[in-house]
Amino acid sequence: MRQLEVRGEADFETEHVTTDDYSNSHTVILRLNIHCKHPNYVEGWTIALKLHNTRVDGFDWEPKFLGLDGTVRAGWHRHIWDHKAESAEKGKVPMGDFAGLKSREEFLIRALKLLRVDLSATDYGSDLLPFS
Amino acid sequence: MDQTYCHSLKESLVRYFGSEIHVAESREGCVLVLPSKTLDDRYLAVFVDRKMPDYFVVHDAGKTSAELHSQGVHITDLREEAFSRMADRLGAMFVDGVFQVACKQEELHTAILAIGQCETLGMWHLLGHRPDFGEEPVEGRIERGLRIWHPPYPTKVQRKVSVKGLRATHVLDFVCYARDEDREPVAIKILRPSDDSLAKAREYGFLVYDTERTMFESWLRLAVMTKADKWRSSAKQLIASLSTSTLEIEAGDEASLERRIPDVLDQMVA
Repeated sequence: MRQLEVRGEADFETEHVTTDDYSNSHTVILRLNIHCKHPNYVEGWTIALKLHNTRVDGFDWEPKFLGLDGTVRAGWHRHIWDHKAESAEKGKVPMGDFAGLKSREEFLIRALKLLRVDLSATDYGSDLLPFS
Repeated sequence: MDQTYCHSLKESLVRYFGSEIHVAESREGCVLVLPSKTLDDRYLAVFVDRKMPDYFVVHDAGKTSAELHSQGVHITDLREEAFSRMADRLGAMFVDGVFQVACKQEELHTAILAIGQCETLGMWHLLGHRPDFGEEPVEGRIERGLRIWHPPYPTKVQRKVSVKGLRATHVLDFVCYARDEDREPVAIKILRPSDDSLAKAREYGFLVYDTERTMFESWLRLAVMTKADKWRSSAKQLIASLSTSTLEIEAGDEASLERRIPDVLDQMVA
């Protein structure tokens, strides 16, 4: 939180063991990029989970975008990974969970919970953020 | 060409713009959606905040830099300078990650178009961005290297050690403690260059400076730098000046870590 307050952005990286479609386990490097540069411009805040330097999940805001069903939507949405396109750039699912955001901390708490990302309590403190 | 046709073309374009420009309320004012898209397929969103009756701030809410960051492109010093120069040429400014123009009513339309242009051009950096499949995990290899190492004194290795600095808590990837002798522990930190190697080096610098005047100040520090060719020389210098020793690993040569770690540690504790 301190890093986010000072720099307006924060990056975390971790080595994570995952299993592929054939049950082989692989260690991959996951990165979490959080960007909340301007404290008042909530619409400019983003959070992205990246694998191989590519977004695979995350949240941001757009005033107009095409939803998965082809209809025009607006506001906060989640980027969903599309296996076929091998991208999460166009799969956007509206999310009402960010309505009325007031602070960066609130954004982080809600986003990390939805991404099911836990921070290490010993590494990053022990306030309201989701810790394991 | 037929003048009537030219006029009708203009009229139909004006109608098109009129129907395709949308406006909504934002927290601080209005947000306009222009009928144009960025390189990552987003509609242009221009925010207009009315600060006083005849004073407006037109901006992109920092979306350009935020979207670049989300997709793995960091705003480095170099890119920031390029953004500032680009914004300047278009009659805007790039301040704190936000393209913006402060203007009066009579300049409002020009300002809106300028910010729209900044947003379009700003995403140009995406073109050079590619997925990076060459990033190999190194923690396991370092751990195996530590197991192979025969230190001149009995040691105990711990993974993910938190150290409390003066302002923040930091994580060291491995710490090798001496069991009996009065020797300083050896701390190992893995550094990946990411998209902005200098920022990574500065982050490491913060760790080192923040632990000065604490019990961790005297610990020996080994910085393992992955993808050696991706580090800028200034970043390398900064890391070297803050470490007891550095170990640079070329991309694709991660397997050599197991062999090289014991050699470096031998030199450090000699």
